[in-house]
Amino acid sequence: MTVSNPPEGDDGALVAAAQNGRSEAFGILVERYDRAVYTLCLRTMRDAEEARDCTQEAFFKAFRSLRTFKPGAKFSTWIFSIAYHACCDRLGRRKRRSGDELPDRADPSSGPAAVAERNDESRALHAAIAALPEKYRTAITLYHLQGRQYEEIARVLDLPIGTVKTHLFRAKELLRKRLVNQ
Amino acid sequence: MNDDFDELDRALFALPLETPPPGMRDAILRSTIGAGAHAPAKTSPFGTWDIVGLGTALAVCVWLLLLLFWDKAFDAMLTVNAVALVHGFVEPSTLLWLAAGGAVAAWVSLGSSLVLARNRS
Repeated sequence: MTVSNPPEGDDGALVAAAQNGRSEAFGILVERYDRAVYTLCLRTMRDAEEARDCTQEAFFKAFRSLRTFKPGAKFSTWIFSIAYHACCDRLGRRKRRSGDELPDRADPSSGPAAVAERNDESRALHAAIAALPEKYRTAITLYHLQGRQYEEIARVLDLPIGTVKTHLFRAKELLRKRLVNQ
Repeated sequence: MNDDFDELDRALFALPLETPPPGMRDAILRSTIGAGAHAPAKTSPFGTWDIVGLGTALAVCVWLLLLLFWDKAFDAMLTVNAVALVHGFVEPSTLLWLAAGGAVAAWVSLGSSLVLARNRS
């Protein structure tokens, strides 16, 4: 499916257009954010199949509740937040199914095709991120996706900004250690 | 806490986004804008309790109408009550109170209109 005649404008204008029934505007938002949302889901879930399901679920929920989107809010923060909560729900179910300890899954980004695409530096960084504990992994992924917008990251994770900064600080420390040891 | 933009930040921001599995975008578009059945949920101008209240009032009205048309005893009782109501209204004291209330209401609304007009000019 392709989206024809994409309307111009920023995310807010596209959301407003979608709210007014111009569904192709939502298609543009999907095209803009599906990779970023999938990246967040994949890094959080560490399972390509579940990441795909979470991404689809996030966009479906966003579309269904478009009217609840507050004017002035950032669409990226909103969709990341929906996706993150979808991941948390699945992680909770996975945890209940498999007992208290979550099995450490294989890094899906280390498959032969994915590895071939990357240079050594980014491959090492990917591996180091995948090895982080879940809370740090998600924080560092959002940092990668949203930049240094701590307030937006805090909104997605539903955490105080101070906690987000601490998570990022610790995540970077762990990454540095792992990258130096490699 | 070191918050400087360093080599690690540069490497993080240079990381490419993950490539979604083929067909994911199509599946998302199909399940959202591609399916008329899944159009964004429209918000009703009425809240849940408004609808419950309106429904209850409507049910009571229907019940009263049914009683009026089919129950002779209710019909008679209603006639008696209506007569009593009319009698109550034509009592001199009731009319006096109604007149006093009406005068006060007119005085208050006219007075406030005059004050507003004076303030505007």
